[in-house]
Amino acid sequence: MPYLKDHVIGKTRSICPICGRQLPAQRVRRGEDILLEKSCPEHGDFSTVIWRGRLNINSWTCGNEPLGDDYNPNCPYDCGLCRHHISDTCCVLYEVTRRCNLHCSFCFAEGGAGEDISIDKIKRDICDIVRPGQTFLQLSGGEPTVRDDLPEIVAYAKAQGCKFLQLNSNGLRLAEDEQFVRQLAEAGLSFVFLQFDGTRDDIYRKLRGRELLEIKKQAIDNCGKHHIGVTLVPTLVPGVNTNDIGNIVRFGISRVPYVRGVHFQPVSYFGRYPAPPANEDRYTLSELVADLGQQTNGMVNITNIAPSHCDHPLCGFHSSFIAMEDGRFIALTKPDSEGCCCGVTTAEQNREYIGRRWSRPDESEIPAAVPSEAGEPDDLDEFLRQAKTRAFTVTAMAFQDAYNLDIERIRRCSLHVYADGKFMPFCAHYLTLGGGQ
Amino acid sequence: MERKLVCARCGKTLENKETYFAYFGHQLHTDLPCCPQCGQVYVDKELAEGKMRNTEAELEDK
Amino acid sequence: MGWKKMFGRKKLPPFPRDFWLEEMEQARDDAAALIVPPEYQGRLKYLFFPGCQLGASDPRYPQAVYQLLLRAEPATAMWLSCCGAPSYWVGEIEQYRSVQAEQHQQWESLGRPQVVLACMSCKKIIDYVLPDIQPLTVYEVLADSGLQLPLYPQLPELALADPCMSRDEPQVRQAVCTLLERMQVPYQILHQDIHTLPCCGFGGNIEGPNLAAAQAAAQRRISSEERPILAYCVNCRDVFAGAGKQSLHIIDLLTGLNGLERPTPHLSLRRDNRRLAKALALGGEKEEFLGISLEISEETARMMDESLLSADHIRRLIARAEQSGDYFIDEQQIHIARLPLCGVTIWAEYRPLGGRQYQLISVYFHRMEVEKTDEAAGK
Repeated sequence: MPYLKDHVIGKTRSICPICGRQLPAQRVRRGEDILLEKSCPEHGDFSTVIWRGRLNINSWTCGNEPLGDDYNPNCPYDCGLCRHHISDTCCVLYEVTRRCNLHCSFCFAEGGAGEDISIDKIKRDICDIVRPGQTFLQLSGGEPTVRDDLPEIVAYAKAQGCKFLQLNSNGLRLAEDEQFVRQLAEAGLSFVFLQFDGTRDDIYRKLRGRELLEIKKQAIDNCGKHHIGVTLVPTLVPGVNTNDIGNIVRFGISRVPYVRGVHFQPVSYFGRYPAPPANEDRYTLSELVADLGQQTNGMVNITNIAPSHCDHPLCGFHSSFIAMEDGRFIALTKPDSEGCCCGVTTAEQNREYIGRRWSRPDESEIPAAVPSEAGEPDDLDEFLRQAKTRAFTVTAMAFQDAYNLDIERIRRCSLHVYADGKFMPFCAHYLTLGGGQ
Repeated sequence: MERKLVCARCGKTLENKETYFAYFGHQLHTDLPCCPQCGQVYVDKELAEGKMRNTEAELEDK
Repeated sequence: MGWKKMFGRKKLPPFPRDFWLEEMEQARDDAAALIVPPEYQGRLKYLFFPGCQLGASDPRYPQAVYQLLLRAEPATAMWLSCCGAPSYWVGEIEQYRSVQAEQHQQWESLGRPQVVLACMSCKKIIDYVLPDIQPLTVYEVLADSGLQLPLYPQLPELALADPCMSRDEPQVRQAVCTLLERMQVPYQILHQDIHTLPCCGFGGNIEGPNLAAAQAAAQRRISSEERPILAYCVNCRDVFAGAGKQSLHIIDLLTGLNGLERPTPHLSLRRDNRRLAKALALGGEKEEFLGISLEISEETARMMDESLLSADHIRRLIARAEQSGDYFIDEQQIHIARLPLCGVTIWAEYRPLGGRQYQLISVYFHRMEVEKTDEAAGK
């Protein structure tokens, strides 16, 4: 229902995208959109769309505690996790290189050329990061696979007691060097987050500068053969691949059990990006949820999608399924309709949940297959087997940039980047001021 | 390994029969010992704490 | 009396003496209850005082006897507590005097009704210290009433064991015989010469300092006896049952509650039993399952804690299973049954010990619902 005038639905704090100073901010409903608005005494007014109709934002964020008076006036610059930070570390992201073998128009890490970090420094950092039996570590970059010693890094992290080891990669080397994949598997890599922007090469040409679809498929196969789980990670840019969402999901399902899920990332403007964003260049979480429902014919839709519980609800969502061999797609996530005390998951719980879902299951845990009759209830053993081997998640993470940074969200972030001995929320670490050039 | 059980009410020895479970809208089946007369089903501790608990965890999305 | 001197001279450690004081405290405190029929408030005729051991032995006893008395006389209240004898026996005279003072005050505030006792030790001490109370026993009241009682002509001959505290109570002994005759119970008095009636081993709490002596006393009392023992002191009954004899309490005959094979609950269970007796008295008939007595291992109890399962869940499970016959039996005579609740089904494996006592062997649960098999569902 359209509103005749602006309606302030919440107050929080943000920063000026040019100079970075902390500013009071408001969430304003204008028509069907919700915008984050703030005013810098030096650089003027800023208004960034954060939600576009189609879903009720209050239902989505129900149970979340709004920002009160107890915030850090220097957030996010005091980071290294100040005492106002609410969430424990769920995952640690660590850059093992700044080099890359692609030059994409969008890159949160501004990857490129440069000297490599010494393996000794990496090992020291890993020692600092890892809490034995608990840590979920993401190796990132640049492109980590440009390092020949990556298997050694993985093995070292495992030896220090890393519980889950994830590799963020564009998949080029994984596709072309199966031996390397085998080494990573033997070293103990748990799963790969494979950049995967769509099922058409025009998408890759636009976003990454070359055709990559066949390479992505090969990377999936190689990882699959060596029992490394693969999660497809599309960066969603309006007008480029937001109409390919349904196809991406179906592609992922067709590659089960090699592919364990799809993790959508609506484009965010930090690191390197082509030009300062207009609101038309943004794709919000609400649109993603609605488009998922539409483009998958309701297979993945609001009734089986749950907002982030560990992180702030506006930071993402998760949804779990079993992609049965006979084609049934069984939804497991049942979000509470009224929200509220359903609430908050600990970082540890979150870590275990996603770690297990993204990993290929331990072979020894899987009972032997029992043929099922179509239409009949599943045999218990068979159901368990497929639940473990054919699990599929649809998740999303909406990163923040200087335009839509919300202190209320950032203080609940559980994805922490380790750099210079400190842990910082992802969006604080990669924050870019001044227009991104 | 198989425990020999008798139904107290009917006096019959339990026999393995196809049994159905329901949880969160899903129906599953497996063979379980039950009384051939009154149909009471026996669930042993290993099953309850093993496969059933695993399946419940999957269906509860935990 | 020896206790008083020994403790006074500091020759006895506080434990196990304090165990009996704790028993008394529990009976007077968290297991205490006063049940007064509201319509007879202020004009009570009888106050039934079962004593602290009746409910400890079988939690259903006090309520069952109370129900009988109510049939004979509706204006009857029941007070679950302790007469204070343990404190007297261990020489805590100050404590004993304060217990007695409280009791006297309670009796006054209820309008000085006729106190009706079930225990001869209570009677002895109240007669001695509070002579204005003039208590009767429940056996005399029932013998004088015109109540219809169950008949037992088929019973084997029972050996009637008078308790030590009945030595100077010919009316009580006579009332018991009258009741037995009315119920057509074949019996013979075990010890004819009342003046040399030996102790069963319970009195004076000598179990603590000298268990062997207590057990020897019990044996002396009944070892040569082949017939089942009938007692009207619950402690005698429990001591004899503990010594391996088939033993009944006259209440079992009056109410039909137990047969000959009821074992003696362990000391640690007696406190639970008192609490159950209180719950039964307050809750009435529908709390029937509380009368089930459970033995649960430490490990199982811990697991139950973690899963938020209580002993009451197990009691309900067992009561339901045993009443309906819906349980399985294995080759070791272990019973296996379930209790369907909302959202979870609890299973327990347990061994019946006789009476209403059960040993819990294992407990587990599942949330998935299991449906009956097709064939049977069609029946």
